[in-house]
Amino acid sequence: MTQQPGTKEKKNPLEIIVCFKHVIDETELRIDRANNKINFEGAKTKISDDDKNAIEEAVRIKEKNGGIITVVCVGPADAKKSTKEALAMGCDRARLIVDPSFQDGDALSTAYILSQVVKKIGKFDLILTSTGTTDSYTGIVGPALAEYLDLPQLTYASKITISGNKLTVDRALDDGIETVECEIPALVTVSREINQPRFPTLIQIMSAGKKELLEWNAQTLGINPSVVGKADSKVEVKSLSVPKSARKKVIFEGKPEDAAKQLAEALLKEGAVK
Amino acid sequence: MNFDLSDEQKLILEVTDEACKKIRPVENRCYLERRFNDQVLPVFKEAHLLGLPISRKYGEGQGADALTYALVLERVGREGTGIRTFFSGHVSLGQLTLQKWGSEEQKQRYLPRTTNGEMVMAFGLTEPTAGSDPSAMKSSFVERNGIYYLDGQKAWISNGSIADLIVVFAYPKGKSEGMCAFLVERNFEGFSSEPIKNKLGLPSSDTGLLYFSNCRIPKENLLGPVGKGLSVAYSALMSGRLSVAAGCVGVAQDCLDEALVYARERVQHKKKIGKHQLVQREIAKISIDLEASRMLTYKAAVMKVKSDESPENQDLRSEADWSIAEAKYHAANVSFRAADRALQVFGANGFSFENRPARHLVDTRACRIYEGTDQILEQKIAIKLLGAEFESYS
Ligand SMILES: Cc1cc2nc3c(=O)[nH]c(=O)nc-3n(C[C@H](O)[C@H](O)[C@H](O)COP(=O)(O)OP(=O)(O)OC[C@H]3O[C@@H](n4cnc5c(N)ncnc54)[C@H](O)[C@@H]3O)c2cc1C
Ligand SMILES: Cc1cc2nc3c(=O)[nH]c(=O)nc-3n(C[C@H](O)[C@H](O)[C@H](O)COP(=O)(O)OP(=O)(O)OC[C@H]3O[C@@H](n4cnc5c(N)ncnc54)[C@H](O)[C@@H]3O)c2cc1C
Repeated sequence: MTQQPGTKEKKNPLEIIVCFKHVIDETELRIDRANNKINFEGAKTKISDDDKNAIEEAVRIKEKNGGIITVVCVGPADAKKSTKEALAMGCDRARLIVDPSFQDGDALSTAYILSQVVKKIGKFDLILTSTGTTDSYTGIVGPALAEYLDLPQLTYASKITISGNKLTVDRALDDGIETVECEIPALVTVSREINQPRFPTLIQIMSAGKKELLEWNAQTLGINPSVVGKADSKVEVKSLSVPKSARKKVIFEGKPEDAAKQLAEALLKEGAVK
Repeated sequence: MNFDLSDEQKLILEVTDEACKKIRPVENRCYLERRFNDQVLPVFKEAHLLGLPISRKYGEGQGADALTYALVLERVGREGTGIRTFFSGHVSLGQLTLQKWGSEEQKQRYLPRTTNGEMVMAFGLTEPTAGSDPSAMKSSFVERNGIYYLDGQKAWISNGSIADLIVVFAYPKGKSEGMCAFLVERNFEGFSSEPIKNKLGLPSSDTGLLYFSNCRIPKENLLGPVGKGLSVAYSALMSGRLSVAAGCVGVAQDCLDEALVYARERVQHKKKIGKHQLVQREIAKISIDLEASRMLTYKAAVMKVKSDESPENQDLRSEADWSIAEAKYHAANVSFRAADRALQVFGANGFSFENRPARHLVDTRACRIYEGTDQILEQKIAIKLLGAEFESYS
């Protein structure tokens, strides 16, 4: 259609992609202290906490700027429940990526798979991920995905503003806030303080079931199984153990004044107090 | 009957779980300090659970069916009977009754504000002289120039002293038939309330005394048809009892969970106490009781869903009423026994309100009294089987 002179050019809606990981709820894990093992049996699963912040932020950006959100999860088949939760929170469509060859891959492999997903989706203006996941917290997936796609990456975001093509991000750093800008398309990793994720209502949960949820696998994405998953993993988890939290159980004897002095010295020496 | 949960039910349970995790530390403090937990409302409002089974036509109503709502209350029940009782008063006895019996105008006027938590509801049937036998109630009303004037007192009303809108029952003055139900707002002239003190349990949840002294109720606040008060009350009790049953299943689940954690950690006689057979027996018994109660409760909830779908079908209604009575009776007793067993597994540590078994023990005791005492329900169940001519308590 030809543009009428004097009418505003109709802007295309913002296309947002947000990625999340389906993880085991760490608060439900049982720890077997005797055998120094983590018992995963019967533990519940959930959207990784910080990824929920990324999803929430995508929805807030959409509420402010308009747009369409595609939520992506590379995970096991039972991640469908979490994917529906993301749809209930306000995402518009979902791509659940399941393939046996993707299992036990390292973070780089996940980033590569995601890059292929993004390429298949095609159009996008903004990709959101968390800074790290509650299970392994490698912090690699977001930045590596940006590299695979050759995108500007703005990390540790505590505030995101989009105005036209300009993206402004406050980065929450240890010693202050850094404000950075770039043009979209870009990738942003969000930090946990960026927002408080909402609870979806039952109505939203029910309507999530009607939104588009496509399952893609290695074949749909044209990924060669030998370059992903366990086959290509550069990282191998050798063991998983519970941190030792043995108490020192030191008793200072003698007169209360002396014992107190010794206690204070010991605490200072341990760095327990400054 | 198939009780497989849908993805949607699982998700609403996760939302509930998050809200419950938020309220737990607050409830711990309030319980030990024996003060009202005023965070229950805001936390569950944020999770959009305050109008869960109410129609989507009204405010934040979510239109959940009776089974989904029961599942949510089971999860809430794990946090304690006080929190679940808030829901029973506000949602099951309050809003569902208003939704069933209210005029469209009344529903439009109130339900948006009750589903979003702006107004808390309660249900006032019991009086100092009328508990199991509501027909002994003394509250009475007169009608003058299109206004009702209500006199009397209500006792042991859940949410009573915090409620903004209360379903209240009374007879026409001088009569003991033709009971009517009214919607009384907290700020109506002649109404006052106070919390009951020195309760055995439920210290963080409100149970109130209500006073009506020539309380002025506008005509448009009559609830249901004139003279149909008892029908309103009995239908409310169906929803109310189901909520109690569901909550009690949650209590028993929490007792099991707590007992398992403790039995896995505590060592006596050089073994984890979970390795002692007599401790294993306690755990097995809680679990068997719990599963039986859960099945009865889910079945009752499914019966309620069916009855709600065909409100004119009296047979379905009567079946649901009976199933709910069985589920409530069983679950209330199971939760009490489960608390006692969990407390026993905890030894002396069980004898402290710092641990939840002790709280469950005293709190869930109320469930064998309210919404039909054990004795009333036993008779109700038997009469349904024997036939109406064996009526023993009317
Ligand atoms: C914590 C709490 C919250 C409550 N919340 C509410 C509320 O929100 N709204 C409300 O209206 N009420 C509420 N109640 C009141 C409750 O419903 C009544 O306590 C209950 O109906 C029993 O009445 P009662 O206490 O007067 O006991 P009574 O009826 O006096 O009974 C005393 C004993 O006699 C037995 N008994 C009575 N009649 C018979 C009979 N015919 N056959 C055999 N045994 C009989 C009973 O089973 C009981 O053991 C609440 C009570 C409690 C404890
Ligand atoms: C109010 C109160 C007052 C008390 N006063 C005193 C007092 O004045 N002096 C004093 O010394 N103590 C006192 N006690 C402590 C009381 O004697 C102990 O609580 C009791 O001996 C149980 O020990 P425990 O609490 O450590 O439970 P545990 O021994 O840890 O038992 C936990 C559970 O495991 C079970 N269990 C443990 N071992 C076995 C086994 N071999 N086989 C099967 N089951 C097993 C127990 O029966 C119990 O159910 C008091 C306790 C209370 C609650």
